[in-house]
Amino acid sequence: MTDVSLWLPALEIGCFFSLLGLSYYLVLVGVGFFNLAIGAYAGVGAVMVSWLVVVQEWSLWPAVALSVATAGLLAVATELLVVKPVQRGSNGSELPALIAVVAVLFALQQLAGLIFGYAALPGQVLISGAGIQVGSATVSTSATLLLAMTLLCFVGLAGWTRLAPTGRALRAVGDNRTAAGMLGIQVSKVRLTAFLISGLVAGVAGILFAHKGGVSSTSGLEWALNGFLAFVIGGVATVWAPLVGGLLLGALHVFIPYYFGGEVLNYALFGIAVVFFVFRPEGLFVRRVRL
Amino acid sequence: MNQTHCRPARHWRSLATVAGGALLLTGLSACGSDNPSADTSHLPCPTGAERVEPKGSPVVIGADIDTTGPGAAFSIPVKEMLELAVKQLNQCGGVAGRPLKMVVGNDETDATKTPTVLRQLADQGSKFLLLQTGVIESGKSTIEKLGIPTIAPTSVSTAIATPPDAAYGYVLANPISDWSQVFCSAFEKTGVSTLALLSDDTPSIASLNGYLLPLLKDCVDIVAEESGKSDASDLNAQVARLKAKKPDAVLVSSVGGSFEILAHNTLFEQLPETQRFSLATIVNQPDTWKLANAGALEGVVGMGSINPENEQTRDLAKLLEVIKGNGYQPTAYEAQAYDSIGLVKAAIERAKSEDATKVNEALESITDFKSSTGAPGYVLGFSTTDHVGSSGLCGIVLQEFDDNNEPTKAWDKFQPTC
Repeated sequence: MTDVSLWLPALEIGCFFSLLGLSYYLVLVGVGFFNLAIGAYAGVGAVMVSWLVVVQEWSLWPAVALSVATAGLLAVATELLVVKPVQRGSNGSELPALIAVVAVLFALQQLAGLIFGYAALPGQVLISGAGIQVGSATVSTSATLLLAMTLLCFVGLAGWTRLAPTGRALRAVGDNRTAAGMLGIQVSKVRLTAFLISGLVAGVAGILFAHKGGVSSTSGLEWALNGFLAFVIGGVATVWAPLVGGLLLGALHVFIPYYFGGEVLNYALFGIAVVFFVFRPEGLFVRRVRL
Repeated sequence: MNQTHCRPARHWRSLATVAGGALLLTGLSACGSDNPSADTSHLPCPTGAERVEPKGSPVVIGADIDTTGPGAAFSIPVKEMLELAVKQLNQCGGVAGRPLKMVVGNDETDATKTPTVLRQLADQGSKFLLLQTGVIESGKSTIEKLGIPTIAPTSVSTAIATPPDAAYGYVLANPISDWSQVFCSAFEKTGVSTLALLSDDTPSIASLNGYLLPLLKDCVDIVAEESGKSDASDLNAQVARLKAKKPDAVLVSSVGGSFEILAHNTLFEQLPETQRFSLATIVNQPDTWKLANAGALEGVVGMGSINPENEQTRDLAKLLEVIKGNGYQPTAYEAQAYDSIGLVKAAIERAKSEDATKVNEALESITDFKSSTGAPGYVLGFSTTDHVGSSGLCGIVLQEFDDNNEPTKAWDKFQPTC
């Protein structure tokens, strides 16, 4: 447990899962809905940057800007073309919309394969440099950037949901959509904002993480599941909950294989998910209400 | 009243729209192709062949290629190679003076679809079948029932070529038993007595390891076995466990792709001085080499089949340069796909007929087909009792990666001989 070369990847993976968990959090708080297509936004964002840079020979930063914007627009399109119509058609029932976004996840993966190819592509290093030496390990600039962006996203969104009018409206809509509507809050606009920001966060997360092992059109499914698990572990009581859930999950991803072997990881994660679903469905952090 | 009727209808319409969209995209992706837009109207003919335009009705062959699904990354380059080989053949005399036409199906690496796709290809008049899918064994009984000679170009599993029900199935690559012989000889030659294994968790690799490891244990002490998810994001923990056992060498056993590269990136960081070996996948997936960190593949020895000294390989390289650019080195998968089309031509011309039984007998009588794989002079051959084309260990070439992460040279410490 004292080996820095293991803690660094744990932190890096944890930050990535935290950002995905934050994406889930935003849609759940604002819309009251699990958007499982979030992994696909991250996957499309990451694979699109690599494709634009490696195959189409674009400059890095225009490729990043376009890919992040695409991830955000895909999230908006999911709300306008899928979630909203399906929820309206099913009288607000959650299950049809949930099934629909799972279909969106697979459809986006297929579309990404069709456009960007099925082969894995190398993730892009956004800032090159020698890295920082920590004990026996080197923290790459890509890892540093991921850590910094994670902190920035959480601090920024915590401030936004607490202080900005649109952020407070998001929480109000999530708490009680009907009451929020009666108070004059434009529910549709708030929902769109939640989807847009969650898509942007997912896109950024995918791009920043892809350098570790490359990215392919099918990366989104695994990412969606891990982000969801980070969110389940953390809970919804506070915007910081996905950060804790993600970091914990990142540590499990590294230390379970280290102590028990790689073949145990899937079973252990499944067991942890079951434990949370059964005994702690609200996650580690519980919202306290003063009566 | 109307509302209660309309809502479910709208709900199902919405779901149907989404599902329909997903299916449409899935279907569209089956049509996707990475074919380059290079001019292929004047391809170089193989040594000894003349540029003659074939005439008459085409000879139809069918190819089941999983261009979507988990096997797509392997199969798309094979499809491109098969199409290029057919194009070349049709510019250089055809099959018995007639053009060759390849119809293509896609089982999406789905074992339940393979029999249907093979039957569809047969219904389209295929006289010969090629089976390029990650679920080859699922086609075995259908091939037997159809009675059409079938080659699995890149399969290392000999399942479709070994009894029962293997009268019409053929494979070209060296079987896994050959791999263990080559590895053991290489370990002996380089003084490797302890080996650590890093595998992905796919069923294909579990099955392959189940066959390969007991054979390797006869010649080397396997001190650690670690595995990771095929789509793992990090392998530091597994490599740290391997490192603790201080192995002489590490063997990475995976279906390739990002797992293989992640494994080598991590091994390069944690065990830079330890000799690394790999299976056939890494040397045959050029698209993945660029995923590796700078110099991370240097010194990795992979189980390849390409030797630039082989005349047939050089011919193939010349052909591929038209679409891939100068200096392109073929992969074993491309060479095996190219050889498959060559064998189709040879068998049909030898049979002097399109009758499946006669073509099958003709294929069984081929014993000296000059292969694009292996050492110079390496040949593929079959008999009535042996449908595995490999004629010896020199079909395998141990290829070493250079500091540009490319397997440009044959490993100078050991090479198998026939």
